[in-house]
Amino acid sequence: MNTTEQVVGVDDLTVSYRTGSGANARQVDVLKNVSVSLERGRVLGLVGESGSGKSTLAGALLGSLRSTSFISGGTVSVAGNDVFALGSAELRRFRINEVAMVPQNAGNALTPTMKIREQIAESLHGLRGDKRAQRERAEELLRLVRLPNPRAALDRYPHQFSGGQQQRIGIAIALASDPTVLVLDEPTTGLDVVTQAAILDLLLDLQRSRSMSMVIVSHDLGVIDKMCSDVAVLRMGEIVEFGGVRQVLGSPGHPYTRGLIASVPRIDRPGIPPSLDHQALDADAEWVQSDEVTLRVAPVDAPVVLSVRDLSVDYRRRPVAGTGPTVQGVSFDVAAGEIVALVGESGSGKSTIATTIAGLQRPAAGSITLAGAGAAAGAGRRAAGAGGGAGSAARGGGAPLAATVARRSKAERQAVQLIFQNADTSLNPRKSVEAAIQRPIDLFKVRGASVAGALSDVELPGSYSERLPGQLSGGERQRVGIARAISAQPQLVLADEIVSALDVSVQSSILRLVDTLATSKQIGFLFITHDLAVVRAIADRVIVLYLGRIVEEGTVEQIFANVSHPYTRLLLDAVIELGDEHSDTLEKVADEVPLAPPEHGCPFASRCPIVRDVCLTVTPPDLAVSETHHITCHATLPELIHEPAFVAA
Amino acid sequence: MTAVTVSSRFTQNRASARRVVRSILSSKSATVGFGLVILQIILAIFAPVLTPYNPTTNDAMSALADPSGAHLLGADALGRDILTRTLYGGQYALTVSFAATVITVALGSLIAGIAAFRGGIVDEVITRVLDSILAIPAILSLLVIVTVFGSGQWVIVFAAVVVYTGGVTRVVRAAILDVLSKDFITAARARGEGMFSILLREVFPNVLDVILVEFAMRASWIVLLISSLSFLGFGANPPTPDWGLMVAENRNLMAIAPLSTVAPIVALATLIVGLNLAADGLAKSFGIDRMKEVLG
Repeated sequence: MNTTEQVVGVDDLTVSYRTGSGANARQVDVLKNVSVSLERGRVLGLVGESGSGKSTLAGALLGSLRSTSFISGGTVSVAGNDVFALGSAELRRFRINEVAMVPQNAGNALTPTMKIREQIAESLHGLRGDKRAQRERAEELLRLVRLPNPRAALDRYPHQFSGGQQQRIGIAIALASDPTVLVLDEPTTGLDVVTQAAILDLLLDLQRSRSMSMVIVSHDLGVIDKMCSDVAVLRMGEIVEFGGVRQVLGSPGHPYTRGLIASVPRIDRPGIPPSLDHQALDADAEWVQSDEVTLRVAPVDAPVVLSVRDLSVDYRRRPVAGTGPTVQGVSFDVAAGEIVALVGESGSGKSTIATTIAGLQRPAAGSITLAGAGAAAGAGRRAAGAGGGAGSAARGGGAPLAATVARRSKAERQAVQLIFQNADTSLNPRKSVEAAIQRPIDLFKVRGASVAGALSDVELPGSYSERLPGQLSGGERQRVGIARAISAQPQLVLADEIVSALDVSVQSSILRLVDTLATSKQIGFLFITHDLAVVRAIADRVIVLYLGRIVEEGTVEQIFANVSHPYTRLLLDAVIELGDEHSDTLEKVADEVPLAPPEHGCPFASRCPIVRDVCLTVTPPDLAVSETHHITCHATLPELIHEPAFVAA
Repeated sequence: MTAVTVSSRFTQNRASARRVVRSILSSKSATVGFGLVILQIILAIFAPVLTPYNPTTNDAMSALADPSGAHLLGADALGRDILTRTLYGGQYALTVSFAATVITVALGSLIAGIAAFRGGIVDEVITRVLDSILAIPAILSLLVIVTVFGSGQWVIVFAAVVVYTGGVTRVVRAAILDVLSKDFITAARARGEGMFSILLREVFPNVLDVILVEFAMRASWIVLLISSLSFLGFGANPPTPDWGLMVAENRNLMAIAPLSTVAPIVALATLIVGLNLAADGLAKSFGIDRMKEVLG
């Protein structure tokens, strides 16, 4: 095989769409004069922020554009075909034989009413009509993507698989036609870190063993660094840098690439990274990104604002043998001005805990106590204990909060505010910014609060008050969401994955805002996230959750140091970052979280590398590493010590 | 600041209203639809000015008169001017059906809001009850209502509400469920706002498009329903000038004075076609799939 053969050649490609009508009609370029190429057996990464055109470019490789877009210049050639010159029959044959795509969300891409076998058979064009051969080939493909129990999987439906397994099936379908070029659109976005690491290892193995050419679209520089041999950095439809991955990401030539790399938080470095300043970059092409990180300073001896004691939440309608409640025995405190991170994979119960604190989910047992507001309002209200006992009144002196928000006093409701992950749906699209922020001020009759004040707190100009959410960018919407929460002058803010949907350049500016607000207004933040790098940047203390149970708790330095719960260690090892040695693959552990926590013993026992018999039956004890660092494990302290993978900078 | 707020909200509403008007005008059929409806409303309002006759006064001298300068569309068996009766008939049809539609859509939306918001058993009971009402043929429940309560315009309004509220609830409930899953609703719940506050402030503004389309569509069905009832003799009582009743009264005379039945039929048909085209135009300008709405 000729190794220098070019399989993908994009030459001076411009993709546009028309907008407006009459005199306002204009042409907008989604991609501008883009040229990239890829040799056989190599992996090209397309990296950029949202709106950079990276998905449009990936779609163009398959000869697919959005219906309103068109090619206004240039050519795309894949495996010797001029893609946009092909007729419809030729294009069909081209898509059958030469390219395949793994979509971002395999769960949405699989047809819910079709069995896996039938979905794979759809792309087995050579075996049409031969059911048995199709079945054998489908099983072989599922084995190739390391789906557990491939024979049984053939007759199942997509919803019976987890997100990671669905992604494996998506990859199997794409491989069915043995494509020359495999295009992957954000293949691991939305998956948990451990699952992500396993899927990427699988893709690398497949790529190496079949010397396949791949194009990977991602916003994640770590993923690109691990997977790709070449990389193209896109910004607003233009390629700012294109070359070998080590060269581009190792010693970036363009200020945008440098800025992008600098704005990514890292697990081996504390502090909030600088944000990428697009305006400065547009004004001055030679602009140099400062690499100054904002170091978070934890409050000292601050009063506790929230204490959660022995909280349990149970979603089961009736007991299911062998499983325990969704959340069990969770206790922690949040102090004024403190940022406490609640970390865990999807299904770990972190959002459940937040909605329970907000009074939107009824706890099965345990108490939630709010300092101050609870005490002031508690007198006029029956302590409406939910299900379980009222629990011991914690420090801070407040009475336990009622289970549901309807039973809480106005002062209690005012004291707890929420910020959401998805800025798109967190604001009413029909209401102006002003109306959104004014509502809590009016409802709680907050003295000394104003819309203008809240907007300036979140660093937005006062003129934004008249805008509708549709007229704001994602980062601006998130700021309005924060302004709405703080305008109520709360003691505690529950921030649920508030930066995970944002581009990295916006992410760090929001993190810095949270840091400022926590310190200046003495608001306690319960910061829920799955992203350990964000935790390292923003948190004062960290609580690691697994299947609704706390497995480790400590200050941010302690969590990222060399004594960890095996689960925390697995999470830390699974993180993929720019500049890591990507040679070592993750130890072969089960990468799938069980569906429900076990009734007895340690929740992590089914995946733990140092599991012993006692773990399966007895609830693990609290192992105090230091006064502030607690690990819930049967193992002895020396067993939990590992290489200090991340030396504090 | 309040002044600024009011003016900004005003300009926002005006801007979105202008957008809707522009998009309606860009569609020929929607323009025709709204034109027909507006024309009917104007004719009904100005009926007393447009014609010198009284719709209920008999005139034996001009009984069954042919169309002429005095009676443009002729006169019926009792000598009443057909054009006059058709114009006044619009007043009756429009007021009764407007009242019935407003009540139907408002009640349906409110029930939809409560069912969707409360969820669980409340939702289950409400939707099952409404579904079982929908399962009864409309004409059957109408006849039962009319038999029990007698005829008269309020009975007709009541009958229309009973028959059509379930359909409105179904469509609006589905739209509300979609809005209720959004985070701004969670934020409002966490603030401790009550159900009606959340429905009015956060939910209904976001389903207003669906409700408006529903209004236009139900209006055309209700106009037809009311005329059918009058035709069957359960609606307006003689000598009220009503289109359905006019057709019923004059159908024996179709060979002698065809215009006495054709005129109310044309009036009815243009109103219904107009309302349907208008509903289509509204739906298109709001980006709602009308087929989905019709099929529920």
